[in-house]
Parts: sequence; C-alpha cells; structure tokens
Amino acid sequence: MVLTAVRRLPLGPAWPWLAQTTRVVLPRAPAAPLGRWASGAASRVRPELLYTNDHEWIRFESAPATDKETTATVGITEFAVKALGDIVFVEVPEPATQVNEHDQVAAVESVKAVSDVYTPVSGEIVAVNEALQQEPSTLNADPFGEGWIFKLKGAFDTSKLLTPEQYKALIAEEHD
Amino acid sequence: MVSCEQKTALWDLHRAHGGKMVGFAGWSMPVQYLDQTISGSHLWTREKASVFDVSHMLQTHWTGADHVAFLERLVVADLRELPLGHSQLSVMTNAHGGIVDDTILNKYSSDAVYMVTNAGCADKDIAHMEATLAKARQEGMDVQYRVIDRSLVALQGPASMAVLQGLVGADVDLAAMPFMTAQPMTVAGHACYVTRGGYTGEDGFELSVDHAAAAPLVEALLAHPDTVRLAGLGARDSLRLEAGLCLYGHDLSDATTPVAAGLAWTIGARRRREGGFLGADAVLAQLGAPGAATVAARRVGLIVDGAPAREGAVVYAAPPAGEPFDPLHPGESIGHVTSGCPSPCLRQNIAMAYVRRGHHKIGTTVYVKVRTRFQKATVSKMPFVPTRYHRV
Repeated sequence: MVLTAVRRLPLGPAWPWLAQTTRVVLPRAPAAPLGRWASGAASRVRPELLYTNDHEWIRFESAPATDKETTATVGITEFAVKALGDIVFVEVPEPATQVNEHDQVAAVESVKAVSDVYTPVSGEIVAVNEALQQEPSTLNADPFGEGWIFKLKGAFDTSKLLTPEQYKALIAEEHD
Repeated sequence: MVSCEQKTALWDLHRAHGGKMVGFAGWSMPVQYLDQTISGSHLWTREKASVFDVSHMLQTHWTGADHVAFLERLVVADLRELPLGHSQLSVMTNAHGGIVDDTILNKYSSDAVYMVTNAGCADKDIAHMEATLAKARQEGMDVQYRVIDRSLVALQGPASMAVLQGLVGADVDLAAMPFMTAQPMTVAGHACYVTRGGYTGEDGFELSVDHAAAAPLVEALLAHPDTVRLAGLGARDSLRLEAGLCLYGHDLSDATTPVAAGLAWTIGARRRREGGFLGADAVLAQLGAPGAATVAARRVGLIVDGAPAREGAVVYAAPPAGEPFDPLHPGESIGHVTSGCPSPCLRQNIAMAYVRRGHHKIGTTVYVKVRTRFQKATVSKMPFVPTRYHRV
C-alpha cells in the first residue's frame, strides 16, 4: 500500500477549452509520510503472516512453492490502517482476473487520503471481500481478519516478501 | 530532519497537543491531532467548536488617500460602498481576468482596509500587488500597505459564539454582530481584531492577535475541552468543501475567471457597470448579454457514486437517455475534478469540478473516471451542507 497525497493530474491539453495559462497546483494538506502518522511500535505485527514494503500482509493456506498451487489471502497491515485513519471506501479487484506481482489491484480511501493496494504475488483473483464495500470500517476494526481484501490462487514466489521481523523493523524505521 | 518551513507562533502548542505537522505552503502546520481522526474533527466542528491556526495566511493593511480606488483595481469588490466594519469575499484578478487569489477584505476604518489572502499565494500576491502599486504610484496615486505580522486564529462551529462571549467583556454582545463584520475586542485579556466568519460554513470568528498572545489566547479558547478542540488542515479542507468554498490552487487558478468559478456574485452592480479592476474587459464580456462571449467551462458541485473522485479525475458526458454508459467508448472528456472527498456529514462523495457549459445544470448526470472505473455523478447545488452563518 502506498499512501499518496490526494493530488493527481494538473490541467493538461486534455481540457482545451480552459485557458492555456500555467495552472499553479499548490500542495494542499498532504498525506504525511506514514511514519509521522502512525506509531510503528504500537502497531501489531502477526507472526504467522508475511509482509511487503508497501504494508500489505499475505496469509497462505498451505506452504507456498513455485511448483505447487495454493491460495493466499491479502490485506493491509494495522500500521497502514492506523496511518489512514477512518476508512470510508474500499475498492476491491475484479474476481477471476490474472494479476502480476506489484499490480495495483485495490484501493483504500479515508477522508483525506487515497492509497493503492498492490498484490504481493502473481496469481488469479479467486475471491474479494465484498462486505468491505458495505462496511469499510471493518478494515479499521480488524485489519488482519475480517478486513481481508482479496484472495489469490497460484504457485507463488515468496522470495521478495518480508518476514514479520523484517516488517517490524521497517515500521519501526518509518516511525523514527 | 532539516526543514526550512516557517513556524507559526502556535507551533509549540500544536506539538504539545499532539499535532501531526506537515508542510503546507512553506509552513509547518498541523494536519490533524492525535486524539481525533479527520472525520471526527470535522463532525466535532459541525456540532461544537474547533480552533484552527490560520496564522500562515497573509494579512495586509492598506492606507493612503487613494487606497480604496487602488484596491478597486486589484479586486472586484465594491469597497467604496462597503460599510465601516464590514467584510467581503472577493478575488484579485490579473490582466486577463484570471484569479490571482481569493481574499477577504474588511473596511477597517474610514481610511484603512484590512485584507487577508492565502499563504500559498503570498509571494505571488505581493509581487502582483507591488507591480500594480508601482504603476498606480506613477499615476500619482497615494496608497501604502504593510504586512500585518500577527497571528490569526479561527474559532468555528455552532458553539463559537457562546465560547467567545464568555471571554469578552459584558459590553460586547456577539448576538448583535452579524456574519462578515469585524471589530476590535479584548478576548481573555488579549487585544484582538475579530471578524465574524471563517471558511467552514459554520458560524465562527477569526481573531487577529499579537504573536506573543496567540498561545495564551488559544489556551483560553480551549478551556472547555468538552466544547472546544483543536482542528487541523485536514478537517478544514473537508469542511470548506462541504460548504462549497473554493481552495485556491485547486478550484481556482490564474486561468479561471470569476465567472467560470461561479464567483460572479462577488462583483457588485457598480463594479459591473464601471469595471476598473484588472481584466475587467474579459470578465465583464463573460457576464454580457445572452449570446455574448461566455465561459466554456463552469465550476459545479458533484455527488459521485462509488469511490470518491479526487482532484484530477476526468469527467465524461452521459450517453443519450436510455443508453448505457460504455466504458470502452466514453467519448470526449467534458471536464475534470478540482477537489473531492467523502463528505463526513453526508456520507456521500462530494467534489468540485469544472465542466463544459451545457453540462453544468443541476441534476445533470455525468461520469467520472476514478482509477480504471467510470462512476456516475450528478451535478449538485453547493453548498453541499447548508451553511449556518450568523444573520442579525
């Protein structure tokens, strides 16, 4: 998950009926770097999960291997959820789509910030948590459980994922 | 971390109260406080009262025999007719009629005007003022200005009047002080220049005060923690958007005219008749008779289905009645979103957008592209949440 300031395209040639003078885009109150929003020390890290640098977690149904299919559940960490504040919208991916590692597949939004969710591994989306569309605050309440976002099927390469210890070190660093 | 951001006189107070500081327009400002989420702080302001540090804004004081005539070149407001003590929202225009900045002007006395403009535009505003001033002085106009180096604190929300009344003398009756008027008063022992108004859509006050008194003044306002809390830029942004108020640099720019921005109402009858402000020809032509040159795009409010549409999201026309929207052939874009967020009060996604004329009528269906999806949106009246300004 990457927390981006809600500031996207400035005016471009796509809107020719507006005057062509340079448009000044000033920073509005930006989403601060994660570390300044959330306390890494106070956020829980589950020992049974693997993690990404972008604050996603992944849980495997059985031991993952590149030559054996299994199913994985993906969500965003408590640290990420605390950084976002009140989550008001979750966009889930389309089921039955093939996705590649680090594709942006979902999005989580609070009043101030929108953050993209990337898939930690390549595979096929086999389930999405539709309940989050009705009750996005579930993500605040239970990020590692009821707040899961999507499930993937595949023979996963886990070599780039972070262990709980590595992820703990990452958020401690962001906190400093 | 080395930072060259400026600090307001309230910076230590923000930190002591758990403010999460971010860089904003060259200033280190609180975006929110640890004890509240942005939506929590937003709702608190609508229900009770919040204190915002807006000291980063540029306060100026204008004097000289010709200060009114000069300011009427700089802004579209009718300052000649503005009653003593009254304030007005206005815009500074450039030679093309584009908006240099939006501003609040106050008739401070019979020979002075007090003006507040945006922090993010401070350098640009001063350059523009200086250039316009140099030309006016060549023509022999007598006008001076100085930057008022004071703090500015906004108290906003329905409880503001009761809170402030408890801190001023019995000789001040705030119930008799209407929206957009200002007067000097002593608040908790500190000399303030108080304007009734703000930028949240709620009743409230902005207090201009000496830097040394800013922190004790805010502590006095915060003395009733069950009523008054600090709020940051995050809540300020969603509050102003619900109130339909523009944020310069997003909803307004050097390229947007007051007419395109839906701010033509700030140009009074005499100013329409006489012009005289920079870019008046271009702006007044857009206000001209039916069929005259008019604006191609208008600022509108949108209520967006699905995901919140944020700044930069592209707007598309709805297909002819009865036909479904085809995401593979969305047609030509008709505009773009300039501000947007989920509204904490309405629990709907609200946005401001500029859309091509013909698509700007209230009730028009349009589509907004958010990431990969096209979402239905409806042009809606602003303010999205009714304002509650104090009328007398």
